[in-house]
Amino acid sequence: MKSLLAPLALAAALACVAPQADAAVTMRFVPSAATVNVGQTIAFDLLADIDEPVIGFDFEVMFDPLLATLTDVTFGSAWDPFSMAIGAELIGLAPFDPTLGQQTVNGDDVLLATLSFSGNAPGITALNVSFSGVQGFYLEPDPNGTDPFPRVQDVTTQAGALQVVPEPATLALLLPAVFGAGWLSRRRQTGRG
Amino acid sequence: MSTGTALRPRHSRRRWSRPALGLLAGAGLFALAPLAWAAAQSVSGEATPFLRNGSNSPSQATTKSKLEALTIYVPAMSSADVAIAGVSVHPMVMTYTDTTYTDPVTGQTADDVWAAVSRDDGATWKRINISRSAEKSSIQINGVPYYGDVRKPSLKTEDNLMLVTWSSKYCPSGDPSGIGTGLDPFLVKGPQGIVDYDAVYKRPDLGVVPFSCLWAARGMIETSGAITWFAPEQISSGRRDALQDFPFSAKGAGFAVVWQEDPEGLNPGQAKGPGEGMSGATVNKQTDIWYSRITKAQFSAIDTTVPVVDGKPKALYPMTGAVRVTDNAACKVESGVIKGLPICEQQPATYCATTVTLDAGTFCRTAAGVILDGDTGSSRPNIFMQPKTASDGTVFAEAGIAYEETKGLGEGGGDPNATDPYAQGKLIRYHHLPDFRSPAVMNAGNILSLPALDPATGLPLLWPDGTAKYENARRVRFIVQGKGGCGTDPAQVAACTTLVTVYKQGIDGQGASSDIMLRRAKGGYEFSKFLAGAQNVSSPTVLTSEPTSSEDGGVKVTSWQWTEADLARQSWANPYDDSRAQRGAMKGNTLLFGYTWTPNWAAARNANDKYDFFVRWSYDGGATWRTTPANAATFAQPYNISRLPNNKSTVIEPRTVGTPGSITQPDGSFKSPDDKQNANVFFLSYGTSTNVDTNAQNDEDEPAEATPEDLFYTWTDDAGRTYKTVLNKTTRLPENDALARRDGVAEGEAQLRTTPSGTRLYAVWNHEWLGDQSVPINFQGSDAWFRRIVNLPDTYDLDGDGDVDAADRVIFMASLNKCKGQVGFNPDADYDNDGCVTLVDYQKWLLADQAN
Repeated sequence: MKSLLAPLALAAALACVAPQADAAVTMRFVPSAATVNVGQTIAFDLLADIDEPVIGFDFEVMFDPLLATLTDVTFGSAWDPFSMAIGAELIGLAPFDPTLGQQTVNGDDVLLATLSFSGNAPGITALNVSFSGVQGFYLEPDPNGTDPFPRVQDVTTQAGALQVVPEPATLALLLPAVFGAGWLSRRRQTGRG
Repeated sequence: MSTGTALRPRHSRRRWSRPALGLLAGAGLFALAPLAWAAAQSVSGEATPFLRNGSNSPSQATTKSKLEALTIYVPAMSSADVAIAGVSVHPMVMTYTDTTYTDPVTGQTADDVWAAVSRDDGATWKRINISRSAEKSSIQINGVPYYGDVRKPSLKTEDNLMLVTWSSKYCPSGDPSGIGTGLDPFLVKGPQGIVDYDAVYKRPDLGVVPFSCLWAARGMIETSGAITWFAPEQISSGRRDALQDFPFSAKGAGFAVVWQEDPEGLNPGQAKGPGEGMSGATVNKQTDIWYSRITKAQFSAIDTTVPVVDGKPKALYPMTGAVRVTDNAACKVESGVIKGLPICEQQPATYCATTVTLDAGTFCRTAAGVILDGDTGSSRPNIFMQPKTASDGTVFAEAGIAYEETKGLGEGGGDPNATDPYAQGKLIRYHHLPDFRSPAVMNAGNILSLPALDPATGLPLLWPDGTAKYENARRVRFIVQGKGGCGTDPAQVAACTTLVTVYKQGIDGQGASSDIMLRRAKGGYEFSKFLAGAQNVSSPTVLTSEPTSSEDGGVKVTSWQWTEADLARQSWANPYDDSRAQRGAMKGNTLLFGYTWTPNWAAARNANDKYDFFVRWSYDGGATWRTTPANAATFAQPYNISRLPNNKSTVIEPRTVGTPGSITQPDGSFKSPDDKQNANVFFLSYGTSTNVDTNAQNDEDEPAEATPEDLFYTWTDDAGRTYKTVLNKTTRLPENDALARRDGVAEGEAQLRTTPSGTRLYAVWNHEWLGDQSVPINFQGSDAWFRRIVNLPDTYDLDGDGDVDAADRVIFMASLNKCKGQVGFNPDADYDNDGCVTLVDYQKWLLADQAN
């Protein structure tokens, strides 16, 4: 168990912060189940509390690809059809109205995207996001601002945990072997006594 | 002359030292074909940067390249005069020095001034040696000819006219003004002097060196594209040592040049080697600022009575005889006879109205009250000119001259024995010339730098005789614009900043910690137009600091912040920081000002800190420094353009260039969209050099012993609020694009020019191969390189239907997250030119959409 807690602690420490502006965003991963079997799929809703109206976001989802594979990304209904996922990079865009122009998104529990993972091998991997370069949550451009092209300064991510467990058929094969090994060990100890 | 007894000053040689060029037997290989480029991707989006070897003389040491773009149109043609049908261009001219001559016996080398003109937008360059003095000698040292080496040509153009000035060791005429037996009030005539550096300065390593004299060469390009370079003309005699020439011009009026002449020869200052320093910043007493000019009407007339030599005709009208602008010469009175400068005897009512007896003797006092005791020296002059129209329709120019001057309280830059720091150093003087054709001579001008204040009381500090004390102010530069840049309404002009002066100032002496002070004038150029007070535009408030070693100053500043209150602070308020190399440009009410700055001056001298390139901007001509023109805008911190990651390198040679004025046809139209000025565009560049211990430095702009590394550039198209970058493919972080970045080559001293539209950038720089054989053969050498960068204007109307709307957004989205080289990348949507289309570009597109 100790070995499982370590990556979680690491993931929590990896809560990411992107630069600029005074607004804040808090993200969290909400799983559809506690665990996923090898070969099966699990979904995570990536939710966000967004203080200030944003026009879009751009970040990378981080996880251990040996344990799981990101198989599908469905953006929340608040986001524009031009939103896109390129591998593990998610680019979300707020809707654009031909008449009203660019719309914005803000509020609590905003669904950024639903991420589907399939389990590859038993183990547990942290789910997190990372920002590099100019990535972040983008605010509306402000021609009179100190930074006319601002991004949200304070972005925090509550890391998720994706636990992959052996599929039941494998477990059924493994259990007799485990119990057998235990019986043999006890029998040897009894014989010595 | 043998190099063992008479070394010439190496001046720029040390920084642009000679590589092992004997390997370059096949110099003919250096063709003008487009060359491969190994640097980072270009901001401009060019697949292959447009590079040309401007000097194309790799086996000759090339230095001091300069560049100007002319405003006339000529038919496009190659350097071989092969026409390019149907295309017209603005010609460009670059100048540089090349080591043209090497004495086969002594090994002494000498440089010539070269000029190269391009009439095909930089593709080819037609070169000519315009000084032709390197293999000539006007003086012998110890029986050996000293050859006509030149130094640091300066270049100025106006319409189709070009003026190049330089100082040279070749001074064949002792009477270049043709005074003959006439009056010589300023002692222009005389034999070429020499200085024995061992005897005078205890510097045997510098040998015996002849004085330099000032030269000029005129050129013109006709609308047919024909280029004429006139025979060079000697302006000063070499009786004193000429240096630091600075030409300027005014449209329709003509050209003028100022320079300094040291009667005892170029003072090496505190430099430890002949290549360091020798810049003319440290001068001997009686070093004066001199002046000469030529009107446009006389500029291009040819003297047809004189044979054309080397294809160069002789100018019919020489530049005017040199005159002393400043009053540093001595006029002594001995036994009732006025001696010294003849003008004192010739015009005693003006220049010897009364006499004053001092410890050193009896001296003239001018009618203006100046004592001509010869205890001051002036240096590093600047000049600007602005055209005016007389009532009879004649176009002339008013002009301003500024320079630094020693205080007359000790030797050179100050009395080394003086305990009062205010006895050290220099102050800044300013002269206004109402008409450049008739300058006031032997004049004190006005003191531009402000009296020092007592750090304890804030009151002016005074000498016992009641005169004001001054801090050490030096290196003055102008940022000037025509009144037309302020508008046509006289009230607008009166309220508009027309002239900005920036200079370094600090309590301590040369090379010590200093700040940049800014003074500005509104509505004109007379001294009376200067506003009261000066702004400290470089120094911030120290927030935190920590102890450090004594050699690093004892205090290391670790955080700081610029506030509006800092603008009013004295130089001593923050004694830890240092600023250098101030530059700027002004377009209307927009003033962009740049400088290099370090928070820890002492540590930076030991390479334990470094200088970065900072820029700040004002939208009211320097009155305030705020984020935007809006009244609600907040105070803007200076922006760090260079953002060097560590102390391995430091910033040198920052450049700030605005767009020139619009070039209109007689009917007011524009022949090309490139001719219409975009006043919101400014280009900036800087060099990096190795960061070394600079305690030995003499030239405050250029660290000693440092090796230039690379050149970078950026630009703003929103008057300073944002700056273009490229995206580093590894870190995915934005960074400045490389102007010249090649391993194994030292690249520095960039000169930038742009079209009025700001859509094309032209640059030249010094390129010095460091001897690494892995450098491609085309880049092995010492040359002036040229680059043309086409900065396409932002296009938000991506479908070209005349508006910015949802349809353009669809096109934009097709390129989102695509980078250069990827299928689908649309460079038109890469508004920040970082090589990728990101949501930052989308924000910029949104601004355009919202404006639409």
